[in-house]
Amino acid sequence: MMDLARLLPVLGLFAFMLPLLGGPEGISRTATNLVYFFLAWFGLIVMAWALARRLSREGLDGEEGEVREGGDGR
Amino acid sequence: MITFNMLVVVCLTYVVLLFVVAFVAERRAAAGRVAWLRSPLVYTLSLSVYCTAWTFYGAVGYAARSGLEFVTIYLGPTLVLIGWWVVLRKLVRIGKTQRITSIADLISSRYGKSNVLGVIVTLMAVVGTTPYIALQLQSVTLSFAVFAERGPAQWAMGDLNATALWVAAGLALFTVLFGTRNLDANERHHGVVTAIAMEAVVKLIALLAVGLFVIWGVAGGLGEMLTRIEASPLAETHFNSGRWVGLTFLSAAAIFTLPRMFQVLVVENADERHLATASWAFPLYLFLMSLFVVPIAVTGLRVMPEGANPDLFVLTVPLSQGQEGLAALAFLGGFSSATSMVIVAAIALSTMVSNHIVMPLWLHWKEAGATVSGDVRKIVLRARRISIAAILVLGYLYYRLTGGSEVLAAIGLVSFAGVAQVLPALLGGIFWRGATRKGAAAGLILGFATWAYTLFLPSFGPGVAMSAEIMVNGPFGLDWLRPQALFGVTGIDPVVHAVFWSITLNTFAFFAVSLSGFPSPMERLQGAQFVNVFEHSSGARGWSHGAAEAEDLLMMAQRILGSREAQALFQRAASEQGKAGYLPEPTPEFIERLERELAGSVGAATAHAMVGQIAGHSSVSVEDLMAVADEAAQIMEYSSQLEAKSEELARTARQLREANEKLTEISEQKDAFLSQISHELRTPMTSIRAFSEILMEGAALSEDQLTRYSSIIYEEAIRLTRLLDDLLDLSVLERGQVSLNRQRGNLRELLDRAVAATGSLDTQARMAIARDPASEDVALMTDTDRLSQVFINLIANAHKYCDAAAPRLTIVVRRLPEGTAVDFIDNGTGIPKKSQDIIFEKFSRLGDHSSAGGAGLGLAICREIMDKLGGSIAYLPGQGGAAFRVILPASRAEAA
Repeated sequence: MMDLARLLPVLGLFAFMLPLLGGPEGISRTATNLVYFFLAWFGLIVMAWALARRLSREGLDGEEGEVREGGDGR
Repeated sequence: MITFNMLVVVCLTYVVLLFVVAFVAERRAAAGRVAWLRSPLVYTLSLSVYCTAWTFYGAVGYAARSGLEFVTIYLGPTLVLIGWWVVLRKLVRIGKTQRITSIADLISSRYGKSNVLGVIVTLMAVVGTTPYIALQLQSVTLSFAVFAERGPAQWAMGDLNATALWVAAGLALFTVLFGTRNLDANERHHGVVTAIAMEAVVKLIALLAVGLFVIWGVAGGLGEMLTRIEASPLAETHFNSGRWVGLTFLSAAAIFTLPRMFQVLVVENADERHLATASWAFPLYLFLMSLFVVPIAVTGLRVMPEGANPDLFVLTVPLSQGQEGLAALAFLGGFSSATSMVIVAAIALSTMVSNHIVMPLWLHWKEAGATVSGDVRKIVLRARRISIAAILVLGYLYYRLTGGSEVLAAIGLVSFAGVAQVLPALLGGIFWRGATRKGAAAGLILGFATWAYTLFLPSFGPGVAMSAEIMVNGPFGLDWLRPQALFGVTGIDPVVHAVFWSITLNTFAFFAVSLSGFPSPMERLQGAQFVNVFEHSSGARGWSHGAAEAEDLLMMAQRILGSREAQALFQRAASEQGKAGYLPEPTPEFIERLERELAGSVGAATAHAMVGQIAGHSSVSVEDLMAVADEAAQIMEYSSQLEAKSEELARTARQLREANEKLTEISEQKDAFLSQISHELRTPMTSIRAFSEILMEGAALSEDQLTRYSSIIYEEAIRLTRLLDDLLDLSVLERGQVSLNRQRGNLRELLDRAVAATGSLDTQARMAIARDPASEDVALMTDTDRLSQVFINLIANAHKYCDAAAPRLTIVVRRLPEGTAVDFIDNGTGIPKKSQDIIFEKFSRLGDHSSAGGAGLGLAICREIMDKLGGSIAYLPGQGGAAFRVILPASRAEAA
């Protein structure tokens, strides 16, 4: 799960840089690109959401000491 | 039709609302109701200071000029946020364990608490941020101008400048009011953060409303919108790979190197878990902010006349369609974006300036530094207020000097590139233990210089800050040093060129210098702390044992943290060491912990210097270095168990030793007292016997003699009775047979009575008594007679023992979590530390105050009484004289 957390930004980078390859002279339709970017972006947000839920649930069970320590900082 | 005056009214109402929100949030926080204020939602919304007026208005302008490229400004932060587990989590944890107050503090603290680095980063931040503040002022005045042009009365340029001035002044007032209310030990500003969160909602709603309007109100649906995009000048996207990658990198770096972002992301973070929520919620916010940018830009290009400023489409498109209300909402959105950025940036910069420039200078000028009297907090807060005003004045001046919109519009990216120079030192610092102070300084200075030379100075336009000659041919005709074509690399975009070279040279210098040198012990300790923050969050030990006096440390801590917080901290530490009272052993662990608390207020470097003035120079022992080395990790594991056990033993031993010392002392006192009490009893007895014998013999005594002898017998008998009364009182109290007579009373009246009752002791009226009647107005439900007995005893003691030339007794009433505290503080020599532990014991009399005449039972009786009343009495060290604190329990002391 934590490895996935580390991989997610790499996946995002890949998704956001992919259109640079498109088109013979790097020219493509804006409307298509627009739809692509917002879909990819939204997909990433949903994945980050699912991951954050998993991680904070595991964090509460598995790493209690660590989490509590963070809480004590105040 | 919205008139200009109406707009001003709307704007002022909005500002008043901001003040009210901030004020209510501060009140709630002060009352301890922070659950809602510290929710992940507020945290996420506060991150939106990233979206300034530059992004609110400018994104549409950007899209109208270069199509999709504007989205890179949001993609970078998205990548960083969804990768929170890797970098942000570590930064936030370090921020918490090391009490980091700003990005300059982080760099300074990481590299051995070096203030030089703090100063460099602070200066870079000020240079990079001031133009950005000017940009916000400009965007507000331009948006005002859009409305003003439509009004009947034409606006002159002077009015625009006046607007900018008023906006700057209003922002300074808000920031000073809510940003420097207190010197919080962890630098959190609830009022500001809540107001920022509200502004985040306003700007999101405003932009979404305009976007929905252009799609369904103007174009008439999604499909139609896409067709219009296809038909617009933006139909084709020309990807410029260099700019695309470069800008994504730049915005990713900016999200944690911009001072204002660091402030909301790390410093204001209340709980690490909020980061998990923000990791998807903040990208979602950015997603929504950029969703309608292209449609608005396309619509603007279509409906607005040729040559209209695309930066203002968000305002002018609704206006041209007759949507006055929507335009006003959009105006508020832009206003929110500008104000929230300026407020947070001013707080972040003022913290850096006061902690890294003003405080070190102040410490340097005051040779005695940490040990002189006076409240340091006032100086820090004043420095912050002045810095905030100065930063806004700078921003305003910059706005006036550059004036034209062309120069300022480009400054957003220029500013991003400037602060991104911190990135190598920051990432290197938290992931690589070999990074050194010199490496960081070299990288920062080289990167910053390259940035200034290739991007910042040319950004003013040719011939302003840099001559056109240099731009074309390079300095001294050196072709390969042309600012926008370093080393002969031509043909790339100036921003990408500058970012590439500055970051590359910066990183090279950072690594090369770090590798060629060797980190000092202090840097190694801090480095290990930062890099391995998840493995061991315990403190580094930089202090040798026993050099500091706990009382001196307390005096210093009181002046930075405030007396209440400092006393609570010391008391807690003392009780953890198994000691009673306010003075813990000044162990290295304790000094380290104290230093970290202080760092939360004045920054790591200043705190280190201040503690250093008292504790002597810090030293790093062999064990500490072993803790740093990985090879020692296993040994550490094993020995830490032993250490825990031996610590336990040491604590028990300390308690036993203390108990033993006390017992010995008490037993000695008892012996002394027994001989004294027999003496005290025998003297009156002897005279009573002698005089009654004379009377019995009945010799020829005159009337006069008769009266005199019998009155002597009478007075001696009274003295005996009083002594026996005291003893009886004490033994009754001790055995718990006393019945309390609870009744209503008022603290001020009790104190009045006690002061009046002791007035006869001070026949020449030498003692000045300072009180604050307003704070004394506390209703009590207690045995008022017994309580005033305690007060009378304490005041009488001050009369008897205060040996100052002009004796003065200060009575202070304050509220503490555990109840109402009444402090009696005189200005005499006080009680020596070795005696502080025993003054509450029976029969204890310090030295031989024959003049005082008591039997040493007064304070013992006081303690028993306070015990029975459910409160306590203790000696309060470090007040510059003898000081006693009486605590009345909370439940029985209710506010009047």
